[in-house]
Amino acid sequence: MLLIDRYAWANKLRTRHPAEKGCLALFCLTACLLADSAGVPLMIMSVMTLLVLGAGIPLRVYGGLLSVPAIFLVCGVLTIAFSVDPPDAYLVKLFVGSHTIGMTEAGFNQAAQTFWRTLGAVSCLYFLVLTTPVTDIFASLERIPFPSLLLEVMILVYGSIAVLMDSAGKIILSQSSRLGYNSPRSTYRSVIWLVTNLFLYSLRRSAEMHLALSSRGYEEKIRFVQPEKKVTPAGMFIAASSGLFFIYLALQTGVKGL
Amino acid sequence: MHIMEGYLPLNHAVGWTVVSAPFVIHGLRSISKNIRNKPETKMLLGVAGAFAFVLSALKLPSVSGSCSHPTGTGLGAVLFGPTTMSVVGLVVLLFQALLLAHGGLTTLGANTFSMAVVGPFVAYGVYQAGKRTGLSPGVSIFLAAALGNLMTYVTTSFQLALAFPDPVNGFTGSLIKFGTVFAFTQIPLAISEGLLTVIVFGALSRYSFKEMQDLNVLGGGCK
Repeated sequence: MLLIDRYAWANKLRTRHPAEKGCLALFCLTACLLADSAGVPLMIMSVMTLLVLGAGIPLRVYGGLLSVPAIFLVCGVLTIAFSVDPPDAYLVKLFVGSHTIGMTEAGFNQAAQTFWRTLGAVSCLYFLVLTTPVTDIFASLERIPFPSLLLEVMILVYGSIAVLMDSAGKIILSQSSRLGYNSPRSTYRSVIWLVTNLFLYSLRRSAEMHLALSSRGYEEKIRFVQPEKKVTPAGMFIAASSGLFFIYLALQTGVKGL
Repeated sequence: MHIMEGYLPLNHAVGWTVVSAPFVIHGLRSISKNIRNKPETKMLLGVAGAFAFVLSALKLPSVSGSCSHPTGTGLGAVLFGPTTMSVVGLVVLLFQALLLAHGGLTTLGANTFSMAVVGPFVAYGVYQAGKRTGLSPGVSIFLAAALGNLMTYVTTSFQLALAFPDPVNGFTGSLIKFGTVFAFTQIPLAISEGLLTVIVFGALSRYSFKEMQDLNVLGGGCK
């Protein structure tokens, strides 16, 4: 089972209504995008981290997830910060052949702003995905105007992921036990067989699933029994007001340019 | 190459969502037309989406030294056609954000445009052009998958350069910067994806001719 999925199903905030969690996460995400200094994203990140840890997700797991986009973040921020052949006003410079690569103040500011905004936003996303199972998100999407065909495809995809992951895991295990990933050459061959067989298995499974569901009267919509969850007024109020507070704060600091 | 959550400023995040929306809406319309004639199509799309997601979720031992996983964009575009892929791609990208922490919600629009719109359209166009000019199927599929992958990365660099113009050299300078930085990982990936797709496609048409023909219902190009 996927790590995020596992914690989404088993954490202390699991029983909160998805609207409360979604509202907080999306408002804070907006606040991070509006912010142009470190303050608001850092505040949001601390709140989200506390919530995630409070929900019983180990720090090790949360930290591990934060390192997933780290390569992109580091490459991306450094690329923004440095310019080729900058004019005299630079902070750091390197000589590469006949060119200079240097960091200007404008480049540094833009990179710093992007760095903080991204960190804040990533923590909001992680809070949402680590505390809310995907099926709860589907149930919320059903309430708002959302293309029903798109939602249906999403439900079908989610339903098949676990099965295909399991089959892929078994194929990889048996390939490795036959030294299938021992050399680059055999790795390449094993990957090809894995992809091909998984694809054929998927095709067959889709045909079987269609038969099984049609024989149970499936036409347009798979219906699920959703466990009854109530929006608590207090929870909703706290989520919405703190989200809006951060947006207000981001706009304020944005206007003053702090 | 996914743009991570929060990396794009608000106006760019909204802008790219607006740009991608018509492609997804068009894709949904064409799918629902298909479903009316062939109800099993919906199930096929669901499983195909899960297949693409699982490929990206597997931690395969690296082929080219970097963390490499096939995107399946080229394969999907050739089999299902680009309009269908825009919807499947969007769903896969959403699950990658929700279950793998790859990409993000605010950058979903931008990622959909580069990976689910530009990539598949380029791959499909190249494949069709290759077929018409009489290239061998292997060569056209290699070019389709590799160029589709490559154009995705060029589009991402373009999106990043547009969002973060260089303070000294402007948009062009920034495009060159992002293009160079990500070229190191993306060019080997494009080539290995091309090779992988050729061999997978070959194996598929050898061992499951019937299923491949059935896929034609989706308006894909495999004949």
